Amino acid sequence: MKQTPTWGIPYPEPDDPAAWGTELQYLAETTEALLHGVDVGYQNLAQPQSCVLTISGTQGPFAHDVLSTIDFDTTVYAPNSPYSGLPVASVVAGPAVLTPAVTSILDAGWYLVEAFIESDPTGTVTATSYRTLRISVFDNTSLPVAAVDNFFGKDYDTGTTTHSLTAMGLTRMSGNSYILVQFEHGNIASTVNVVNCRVSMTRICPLVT
Amino acid sequence: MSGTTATYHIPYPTGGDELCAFPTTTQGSAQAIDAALSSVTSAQSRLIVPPVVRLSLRTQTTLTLSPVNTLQNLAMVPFDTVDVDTANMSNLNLCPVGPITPASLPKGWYDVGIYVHTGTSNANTTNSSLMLQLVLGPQVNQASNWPYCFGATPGVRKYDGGSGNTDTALYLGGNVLLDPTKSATLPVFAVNLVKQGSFTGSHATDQLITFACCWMMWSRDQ
Repeated sequence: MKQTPTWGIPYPEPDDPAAWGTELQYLAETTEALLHGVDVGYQNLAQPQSCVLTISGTQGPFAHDVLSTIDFDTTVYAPNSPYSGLPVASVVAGPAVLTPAVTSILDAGWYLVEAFIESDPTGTVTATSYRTLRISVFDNTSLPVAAVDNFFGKDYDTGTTTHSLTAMGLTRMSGNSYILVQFEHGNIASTVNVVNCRVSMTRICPLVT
Repeated sequence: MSGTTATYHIPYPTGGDELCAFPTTTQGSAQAIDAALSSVTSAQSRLIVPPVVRLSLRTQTTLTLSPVNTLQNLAMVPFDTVDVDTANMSNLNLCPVGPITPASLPKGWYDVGIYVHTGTSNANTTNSSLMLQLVLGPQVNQASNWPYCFGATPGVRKYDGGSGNTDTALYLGGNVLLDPTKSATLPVFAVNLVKQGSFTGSHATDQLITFACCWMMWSRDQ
């Protein structure tokens, strides 16, 4: 039985008519397996590894000039991700958006990460006090664990109560990375609550240089 | 005489074939399937590893800002590191201020983004703004030796809204249609930091950049 050079698809040989039926079966089965691989590949491209997480309620109050971590507790969207079938707690356990245990089964690659936060002082607003949103990307594959990337959103309250910030970046994630979303403010006059926060990440491509 | 399928022209035996022609026909089938798979997976590979580039500025750098905000007085962020480049979209020697788009790139829509974290080096108290610029044509009076830095079309502008004497983090993003096959346009985008208002203090025109990165990635064909 011979095979094609690229994909190894078998085909019958003239001198063994008795085996033609079996060899044709191999041809069909090999073709089917190859087509299945292509099909899976396209499915992954149509729904890349991604997730959208939010908080279910207000978090805080947070004191000024303290970097505070947001605890996500709601999975909004996680199709075709290795963690899509996992309990929410597995996805968001602890302060990290994606725990090392979970992200170890994520495909390594370049990911687009985005976060949105809405904050609201509990009392008096300090004029032009800062608000900071920070996305930190950590890589657990090497010690000491250090942030691979930090993407900040920073702005200054202009007298309104609620204030929104966004941050985003394209970042490298190994198969053992996780991200933190943190908030800090300079509102000396009162503490500040985080009333809304959302983070998303989408795989763009494999790790290539 | 064997038949062939309509799309991929895969041969198959028919009732009129001689029995001895069966191996030849099925060999043709296997080879046609082989070629079709190669074609399909080649198209797929472009989606698996699309054109993506990320440049970053990892060495803290102080830019000298012009008090006159014009296209001829841009203070561009000089990126020093290529973090990822899947399609020859960077050449820091020729163009350190952003990605380049060689003619080999597909014509289509691209997502672009920029992130800049500024430091506290300057002593004045004016607001600053960040402008993302997509360069689309030759720019005269460009005060640099970068041959690929051509005319700019202002993109989005954002103010830090606070005192200029503090750190600021800004990002911008967008989706643009590029035709890299038109070499005359050679589109690149550059990052411009401009101070607004009066300039005071001993380092009024200095602006420390602690980190910056920009990215561009193909999102779909036109």
